[in-house]
Amino acid sequence: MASSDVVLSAPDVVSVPMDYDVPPAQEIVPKCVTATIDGTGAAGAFLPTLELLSPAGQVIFRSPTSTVVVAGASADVSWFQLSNPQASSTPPTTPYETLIFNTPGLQLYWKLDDAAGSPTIADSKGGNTGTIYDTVSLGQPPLADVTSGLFGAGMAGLKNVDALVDQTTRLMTVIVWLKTTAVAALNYLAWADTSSANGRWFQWFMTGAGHIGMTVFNGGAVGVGMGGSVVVNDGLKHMIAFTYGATNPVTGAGAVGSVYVDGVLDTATPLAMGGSGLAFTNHGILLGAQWRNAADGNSGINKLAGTLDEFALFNTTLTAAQLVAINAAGRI
Amino acid sequence: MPQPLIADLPQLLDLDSGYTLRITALDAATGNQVAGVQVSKVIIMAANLGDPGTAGDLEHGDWVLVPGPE
Repeated sequence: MASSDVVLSAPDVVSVPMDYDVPPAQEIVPKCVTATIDGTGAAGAFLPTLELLSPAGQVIFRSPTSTVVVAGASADVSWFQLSNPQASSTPPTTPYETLIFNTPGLQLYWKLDDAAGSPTIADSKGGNTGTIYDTVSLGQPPLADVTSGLFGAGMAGLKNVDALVDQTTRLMTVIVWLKTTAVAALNYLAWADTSSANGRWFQWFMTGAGHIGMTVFNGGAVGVGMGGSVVVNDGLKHMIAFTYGATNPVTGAGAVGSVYVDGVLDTATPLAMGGSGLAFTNHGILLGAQWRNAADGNSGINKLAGTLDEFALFNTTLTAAQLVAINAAGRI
Repeated sequence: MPQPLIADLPQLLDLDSGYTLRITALDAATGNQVAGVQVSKVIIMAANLGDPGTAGDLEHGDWVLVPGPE
């Protein structure tokens, strides 16, 4: 910390608005503001907001969070200089990244910004650094956001990782940006499995017709499949999302799997989970290939020939509105 | 457990005396302040562009200077 930096604290609990007035004959440059916002007694939903007021009392700057806090809920809010690398170890730097970080339930976020030649891919959320296993090329032109994508055929990710993410909610959403013209019978976007028995979780793929499919597994390693009908192997970039929801996540009752393409619902399919909810232990996650444990060696099979970008995993069922917003943010 | 949220803070937000930083809660539809919301544990980290030897002058009202990270 530089000698001219200061940290000011207000220990009291006060009702909004809470003001800090720059004292006479002083000049400061705020670098970070943090606060706990308690909405227990709130009259309605709200946006925690930082404002700057001129000496005349006019609001000249306003920074609300992008997430609404419902009445009765609370939030720990940080206003960062987002391009300051010292503000956070994994600072969001773009509207897309900010939206992903602000979406509740984020567990893993491989931006795939990693430079060409990098042996790993960084997780900007949970520290789950992935490994490049074979013929993957980083440093491709971006599909979403302003960052680089990852090109196959090959695979990247994590194998045999227990407790990789908090999946105890037994709900999930995965998002990835895809650009491909592949027509192979099976082209895997992501594969979640381990060498452990009953370690299967989900298998996300594109068929030769360019349709998105997903198989999710229950706690007994029984797979339940579904597929959409929107064609995505047209050489254009698409945001692909899959959500899994259930009225009873523990038993899987009322489970529905939904595929979204570019923020638009492709299919919502009831899933018969057989009395056992979504698998939630012994996970590894790989991008761009199928990897059936030792059977497929170190490099997997059914590799995707195409570009992937901005893979994000949530332990919640994102809504259609949230996916519309994320798709829009990725096209700025 | 409070949900963690982040938002932007412009770089080089140079504030002279008389300016005010305000933490508030706004209705997303109307922009009006929402009643009943409380704020606590507020911390501002800032560069002091005044004389470092007068950093104590930054204390104002209920605010106190606290040790920062090394």
